[in-house]
Amino acid sequence: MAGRPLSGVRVLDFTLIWAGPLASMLLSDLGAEVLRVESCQHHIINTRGFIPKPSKEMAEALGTLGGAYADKDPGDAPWNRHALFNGLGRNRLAMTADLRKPEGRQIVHELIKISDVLLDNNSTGLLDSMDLDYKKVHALNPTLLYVPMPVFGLSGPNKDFIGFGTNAEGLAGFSALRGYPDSDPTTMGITYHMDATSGIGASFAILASLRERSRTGKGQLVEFPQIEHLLQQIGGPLMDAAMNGRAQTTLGNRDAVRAPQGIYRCKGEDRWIALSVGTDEEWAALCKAIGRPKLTGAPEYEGNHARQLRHDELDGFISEWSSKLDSIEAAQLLQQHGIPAGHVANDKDVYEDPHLEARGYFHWMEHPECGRHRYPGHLFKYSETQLRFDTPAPLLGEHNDLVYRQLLGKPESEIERLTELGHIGTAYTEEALW
Amino acid sequence: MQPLKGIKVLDLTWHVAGPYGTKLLADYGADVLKIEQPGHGDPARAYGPFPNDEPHHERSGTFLHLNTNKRSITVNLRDEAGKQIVKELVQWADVVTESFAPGALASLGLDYGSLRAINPSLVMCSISNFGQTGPYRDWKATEFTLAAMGGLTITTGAEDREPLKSTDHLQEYQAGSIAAFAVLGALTQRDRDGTGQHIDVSIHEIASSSADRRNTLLTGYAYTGLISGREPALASSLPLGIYPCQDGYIWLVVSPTARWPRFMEMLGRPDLIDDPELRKPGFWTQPEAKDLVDSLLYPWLMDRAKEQVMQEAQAARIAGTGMNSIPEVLMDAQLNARGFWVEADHPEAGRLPYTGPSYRTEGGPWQLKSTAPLLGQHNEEVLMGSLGFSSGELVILRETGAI
Repeated sequence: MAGRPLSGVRVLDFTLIWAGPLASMLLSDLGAEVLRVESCQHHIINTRGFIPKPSKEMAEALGTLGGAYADKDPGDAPWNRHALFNGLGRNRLAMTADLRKPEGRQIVHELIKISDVLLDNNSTGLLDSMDLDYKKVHALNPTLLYVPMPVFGLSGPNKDFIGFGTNAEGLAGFSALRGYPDSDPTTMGITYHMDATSGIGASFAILASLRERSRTGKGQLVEFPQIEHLLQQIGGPLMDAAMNGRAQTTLGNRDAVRAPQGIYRCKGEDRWIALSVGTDEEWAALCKAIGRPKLTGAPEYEGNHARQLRHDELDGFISEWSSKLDSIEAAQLLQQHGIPAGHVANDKDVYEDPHLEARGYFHWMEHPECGRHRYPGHLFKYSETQLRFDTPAPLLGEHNDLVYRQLLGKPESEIERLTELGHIGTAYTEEALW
Repeated sequence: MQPLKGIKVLDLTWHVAGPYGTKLLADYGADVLKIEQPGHGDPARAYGPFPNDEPHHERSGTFLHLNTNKRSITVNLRDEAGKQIVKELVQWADVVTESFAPGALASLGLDYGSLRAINPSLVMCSISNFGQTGPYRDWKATEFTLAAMGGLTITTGAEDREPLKSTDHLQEYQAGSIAAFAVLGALTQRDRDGTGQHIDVSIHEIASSSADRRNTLLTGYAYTGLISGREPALASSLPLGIYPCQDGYIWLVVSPTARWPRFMEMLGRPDLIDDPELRKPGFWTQPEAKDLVDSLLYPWLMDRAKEQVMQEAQAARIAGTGMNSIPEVLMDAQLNARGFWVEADHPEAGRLPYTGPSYRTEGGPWQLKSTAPLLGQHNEEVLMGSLGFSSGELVILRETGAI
């Protein structure tokens, strides 16, 4: 095979948080050379950690996500040790330049001339304000794909609104479709579906646009409005509103048709199983599995509709059974009876899952500052192409030498000057550490 | 010219995941030929919602949404003549997509090995609950149980209650999205060097890895040994969640912590920005900061309607936005100003709004050229026009139940 699908494609990566880094991760898996452009003068929000330089005690107070530093220790360079950036950061190169200064912008302009894709999920207008708007970039390199990921799109009355994925899920109706039916919406907790799915969608848009470019030879603006991509994923409820004017709401853990379906307590703290029964055959199997064979064939439990009417009662039967069992064992037992069921896995369960292990999902990787860990792997398998996972997330400015010397051919004197001016570096400046 | 024009997809998928993946390809120009079971077709035809709640296999909202720009032929894969038709179409296709239980296509002689023998540069994409290998391969599942097993459900909901499922079907949509990406990647490889290959997409793996916070929380577990539950994974006393206002609910996210002065401005309390207590490092991770936030925020929200909260939050550059019902989504000013919804006629379901492009370029890469196909709508066009069957042969295929 002649390399990977995107071998030879260079992506300039201005991304932050989840959505953008997930997209550039997928492109790097396919062999693209992804170069992160960062600044020592600006700690990008919620990316290389949530707080620029927390103490060990502060990190501990930040919760499992906020405080997810290797060995729970932010160390002297916390920006190189956080799980958020390091989990998604594989295969990437990282360089620094101070984009507020003309020399820094000049450096980026030189990189634009030798790149194929510019990917950005900052707030709308940020790159424009740094002399990196589409017109400018297109003039520098007419074959480059310029890919912003605005939450609301590049036009319209709310185009400059700021919003995170959770905000968009509320606007797009996703929050109206989940929650506890006996409680108000404030208790539903947070999901981050949009961030995760935007990353996939944007990388699809880039592959399709690269395909188009191979035919036309021309670069273009590829607008990825995250909320409009998200809206592709609630077809049924949107059609119900259009057809019948109906405002679908939440059923909690239940299903509109299948019954019983739910999450049931098991032995131990915060241990549960999920199961979903949708046919009389599965119902009969469930009755047998939970030791109530006499319920089988009783007309008041035949058919989903009848079982929906008695759902509370059935929940009671199932909980009584499950609460005495280990969740993983209970799920396996239900599977032996042919019932769609699974343990409600926590991080440890997933990390130690024998199925994922057998499929070779996790990858060991040695990170120069975090040590050796097992990282989540690829999102699909190819039978022929070997997807890339060969370097850990880059340290801040780790590849400055490669970029400034090899890619841009800067002489020693210039590199010294740019280092003095603060463009080239491996640590954030004091002003960046609020 | 649409970016994916010229890509030919033989689509053996049904339900949500596979059809969503091939919808993405079809909406951007690929020629997607859907193979449906004679009689009932794709089970999504039975899911609804239906106009006036009257079931009809050509009027299912779920099916109509997921199958735009595709053609449909009916083929019985258990029938020898039916299998022959599929094999001839495999020669035509660049891509075959399927979502059978692992092993089912092998028992029909239509697995990747058999199809590659017919078309060596074929890209085949299999989408299944647990993937083509591994100990859970043949386990039974629904999207609900897969999300739970992937670790997604346990971190969603209230700390003192049972875990809560997310919006329905999301992991299936995510799997379809990944399948579409993987197919384009494999086609890019094929265009470089002629390599065909088989793609294995597991919804369980996707729920374990790409969904929600999974990647970060798994990496975090590897780093710290700490398990996330339904307590806020990101502790801060600044708002991150859903709050009530005068006429509904809003999402409010004040993040990162450094944005707290903007939040004070939003609340009409710029005087607090210079308060030395509030400026102390770590103040906003303290519980007492939450009391301050609550005492200022709730009265402010109760004086304002959803739309006003959104305008004032945004004016202060705070991520505050309304929580919409589904009918409100259809009326959303921003989406309508951008012309996102595209109305189209369907011979059985009538005129309905469809979701527009998921990405845009100047050339209009996304098009709604046709609404979802009727069951077997393209039988004659494909079998007679493309495969050269005569009308007499078509009659025989119908009578024997092959199509």
